[in-house]
Amino acid sequence: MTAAVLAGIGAYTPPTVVTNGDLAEVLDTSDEWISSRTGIRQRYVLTPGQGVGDLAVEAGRRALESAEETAGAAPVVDLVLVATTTPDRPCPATAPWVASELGLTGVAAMDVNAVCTGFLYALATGVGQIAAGLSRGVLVIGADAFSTILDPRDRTTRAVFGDGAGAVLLRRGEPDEPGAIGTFDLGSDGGGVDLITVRGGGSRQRSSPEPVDPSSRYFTMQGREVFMQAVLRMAESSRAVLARSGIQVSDVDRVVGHQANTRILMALADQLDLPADRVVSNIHRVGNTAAASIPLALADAAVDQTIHKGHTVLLTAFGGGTTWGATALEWPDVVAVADATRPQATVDTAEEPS
Amino acid sequence: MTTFVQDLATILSDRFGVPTEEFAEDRPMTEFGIDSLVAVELALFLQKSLGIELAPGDISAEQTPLEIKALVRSKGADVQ
Repeated sequence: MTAAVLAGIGAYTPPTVVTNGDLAEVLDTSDEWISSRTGIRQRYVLTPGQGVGDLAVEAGRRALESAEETAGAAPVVDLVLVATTTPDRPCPATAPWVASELGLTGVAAMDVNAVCTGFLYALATGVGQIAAGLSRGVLVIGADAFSTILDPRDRTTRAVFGDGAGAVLLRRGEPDEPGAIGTFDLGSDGGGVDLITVRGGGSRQRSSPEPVDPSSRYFTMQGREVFMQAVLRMAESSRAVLARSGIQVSDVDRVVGHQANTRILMALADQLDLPADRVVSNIHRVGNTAAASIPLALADAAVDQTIHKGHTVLLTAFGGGTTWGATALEWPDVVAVADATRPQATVDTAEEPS
Repeated sequence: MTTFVQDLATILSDRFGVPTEEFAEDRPMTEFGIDSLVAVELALFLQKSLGIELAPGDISAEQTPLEIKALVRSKGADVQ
């Protein structure tokens, strides 16, 4: 049986850094207020005129370099998936442009939108394509630029979100080899449509005779309910996928949850009875990068060896929709290529790499 | 204080850093520094430890420890 195997990983953040202090100069907030509630110290934002496609290209390029460096040969790619909620344009999808920029004109390419769960949904799609024999290699990119949809006066969302991209390359392989990804738990509940949303800009608003509310273009989130649902859904999804994979929760070496908020990640670990030092987080440096957050955290952790070959790694996310998901894999021997424009990643775990 | 309320004081002290000397069973938790975020974290903790189901708005920082005790009992928790 053919399996999809993680064979390359890369990440990119744009060069412009916005610190908590920078936000405190223009909003009623402070470094202490933001960091104590979210764990975030800074985030990166797009350069004016840049699009999310530019971030996706850079992350995708790094994942391809990673795969080539790991295998010693250029990877085969016949499908490019871009998970994003902030595409370059409402139409067309961003993925075909990204594929062409990467020299992959002619391959299949499409976007996936499951908000902050988008990367896991796209990963599952790529894994399924390979397992079904429809693809030989899939480039799965998570990229978002939430800075473009935030209300500039909203101190809560501006403190939380940052821009970035991360990507993995999937190749054909065997189900029992390190890096093989086989089992997912994915779910959704449309009853939560209003919890995490941009109300305007879509067909429902455009078909309405009502005058457009200018604030409808901005992202909103009901923080308290999202916090609770995120923790419970990620915990439930994690337990489900681990049970299906025959992995005990206590055997998870690293959990890479959607980097929404440090306190959500710690509450998740608490729900799973996992020690805090197994939680991988780079949120202090990049903020919540939506669909990019899991591959960005993975890439950083792989670069600094917080995650290394042989680790059992659990991935889980919760996002708008609402949507949620989880998967698990044994980390392969892969050379990660993280952003060269910023300092080496520092990841919040207590255990020394071995 | 009752047993559950004593446990609650310990939880708030150990997990959320509330000084025990400020704790009072009949005062809103906001008065000893609990905010809406901690209230959600407390709800998640109680849900797991007591085996009950709580909605996001069930526990708020404006409630007193005695009110929280009454709430978790109404959800089926066997606490004293």
